[in-house]
Amino acid sequence: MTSDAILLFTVIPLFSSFVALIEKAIPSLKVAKPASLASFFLGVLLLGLYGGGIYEGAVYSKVVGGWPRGIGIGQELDGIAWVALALVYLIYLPVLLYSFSEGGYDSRYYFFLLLLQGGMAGIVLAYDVFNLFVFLEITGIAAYVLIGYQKKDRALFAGFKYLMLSSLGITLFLLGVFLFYRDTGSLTYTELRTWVQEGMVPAKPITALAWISTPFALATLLAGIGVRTAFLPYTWLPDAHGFAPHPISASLSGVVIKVSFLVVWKLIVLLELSGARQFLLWMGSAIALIGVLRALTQTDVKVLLAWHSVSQMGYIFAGFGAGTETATVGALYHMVSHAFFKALLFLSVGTVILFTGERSLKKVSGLGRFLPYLAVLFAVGALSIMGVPPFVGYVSKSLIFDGLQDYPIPYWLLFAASVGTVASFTKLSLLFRGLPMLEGKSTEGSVRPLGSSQKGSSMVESTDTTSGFDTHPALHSRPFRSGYLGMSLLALFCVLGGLLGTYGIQFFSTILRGTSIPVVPAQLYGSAPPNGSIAPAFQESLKLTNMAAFLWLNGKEYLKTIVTLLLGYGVYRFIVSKRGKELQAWANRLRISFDNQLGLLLAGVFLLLVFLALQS
Amino acid sequence: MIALLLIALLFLVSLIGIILSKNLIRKVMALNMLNSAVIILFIFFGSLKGTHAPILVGDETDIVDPVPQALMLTAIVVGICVTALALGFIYKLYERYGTTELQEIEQQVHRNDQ
Repeated sequence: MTSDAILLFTVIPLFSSFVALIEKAIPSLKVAKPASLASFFLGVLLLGLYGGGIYEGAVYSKVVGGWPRGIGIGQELDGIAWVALALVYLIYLPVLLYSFSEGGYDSRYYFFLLLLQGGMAGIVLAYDVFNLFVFLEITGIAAYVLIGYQKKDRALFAGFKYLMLSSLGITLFLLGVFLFYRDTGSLTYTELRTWVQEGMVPAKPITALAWISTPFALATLLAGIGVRTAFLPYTWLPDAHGFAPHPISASLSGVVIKVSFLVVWKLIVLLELSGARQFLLWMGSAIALIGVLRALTQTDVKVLLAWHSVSQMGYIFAGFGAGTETATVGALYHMVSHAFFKALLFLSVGTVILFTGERSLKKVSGLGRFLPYLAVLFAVGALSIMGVPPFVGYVSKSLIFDGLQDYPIPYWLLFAASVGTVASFTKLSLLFRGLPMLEGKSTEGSVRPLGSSQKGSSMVESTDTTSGFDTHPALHSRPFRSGYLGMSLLALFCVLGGLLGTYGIQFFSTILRGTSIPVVPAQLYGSAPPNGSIAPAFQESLKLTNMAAFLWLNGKEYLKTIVTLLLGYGVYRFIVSKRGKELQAWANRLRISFDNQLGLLLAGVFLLLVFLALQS
Repeated sequence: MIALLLIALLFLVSLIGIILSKNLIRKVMALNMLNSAVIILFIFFGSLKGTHAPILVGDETDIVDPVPQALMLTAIVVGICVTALALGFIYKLYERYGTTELQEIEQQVHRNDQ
């Protein structure tokens, strides 16, 4: 397979996006939807063609226009980039199908969606920091517009906040690019590696302050990407992901934040930044817990899910930050599994909002009997995120926990986060279980409580239910075929990713270990851990190819899952109690104003700088 | 040295502006200035290498580093796009909330919450 074709990963979506714009100019030409589908199929075809070579450890690279490597636009496809691209496309199809079903999106929407796809592919493939900057901005601009696309609720303000924070981040990133270019006259990752390795030793008169300027440059580079990944200020994420259109929420939480994290991953591994790993370990386990605690107090269903994205990303950061082989494979696995189940959750909860017109847990509950299939889809997603076997979340979470054995504090922080996740999804599942209640607007616009007339927490007390709900005007159920198809696909991924966990682990560890940066053959992703050996029992389980044996060896994990579920239910009982509600009301008054969020970003840069400077 | 100090001053002033301004338009303008500061810094260091513009038609040898100029041209375009988009957002926010003051918008947003 020639390496020239890797350019097509970015060219195809970008070209399709311009095709989609033709429909904007000539509305009678319905090309936007076919173009976005065609982009998917071509991309998957390309991925398939490269798959074999990648699995054997090949690395494809290409510099546009025959320029020398340091100057031209360089792209490189390695194992981790292939996984990221596969993820981008796997989530793209359900998102697209859902958008078709939901309707109300014009050609501009498909234009920006394709731009987002192209931008993400560019981020993944970029092999120099400036190219990375350009694609980060393309992805960013597409994302800001898509978040505010419907101009509903807080979406506009959320999009604006995201824009400001990530633009500030990216400007700092540019400052880092400057410091790097000033010292080396080059922009590629390879040169970046040499620069960092030679260390913070002053080489030229201009770099007299190199001992601090190199860590500073690295801190700003990582922070610029970190804003997009939501590990520096994560505060923009809940509003942005919560108020975006439903398919966009799925896409943002599913892939956009992960794609930028894979760049952080690539850079940290390539540059051997153990300080940044430490930072991610602690930051990750902290925000895993913070995210869950905030999620517990939410009543807005999508904002609740978005807080869980913060929290689940924390697991990924911590797993990667720990650096043991098991935890690193777990982090990559969790990135994939989180994409599956979070996209599924956003789409299924989005469908509820679409059908009922309500997004507050106080106003909707017990829809399970009217939308049984949707309830099943939601349950698959919820059980996955709780880490219940045999769904995909179980495999990846137990890998991360297994790899964190030597780090007790992050381990228990993540355990607490797991308990909170169970509690929070028990709460969210009220959408489908319990007594039916819907305080929605009927077609006439009047308020029509369903079932019982009480609102809020009263569903526990209410007993009588009226018959004939299925045709109630307040439930705008409608044909939703391709949307259901998209969600079913995601649910299938969740189940398969769990059942075929052993194969998945084998696949990911091959990708991680087999991938090396061309210039430094000994450099392996995720290896060189402080205490790197895989536990013998775990190694055994890798050899076994059937799930039953894998699960048997993980009997201990089973026990932990049961304990987590029981504790989680306990926490759930507490938060629906009177004391719990008072505590929630108090917690909801704690807000970080936007100015302080901008300040937090700078504080984050400083913290990262401290970690990086102490490492060297 | 003076040039560096001026650039540093511009950078700091814009950073303070981004964080402390109460008005959204001012924030966006400060962001634009911050972007400019980095761009000027890049170009300034590129220009230290030579004295002539990097247009290689004659036998110029004493040229400035062309790469920063190419890069910053891209960065300027990106910066303009982001600024334009941000101002577009502010216009829509103004239509919705009737103000461009950050605190008032935040108050209205949270009032709708409860």
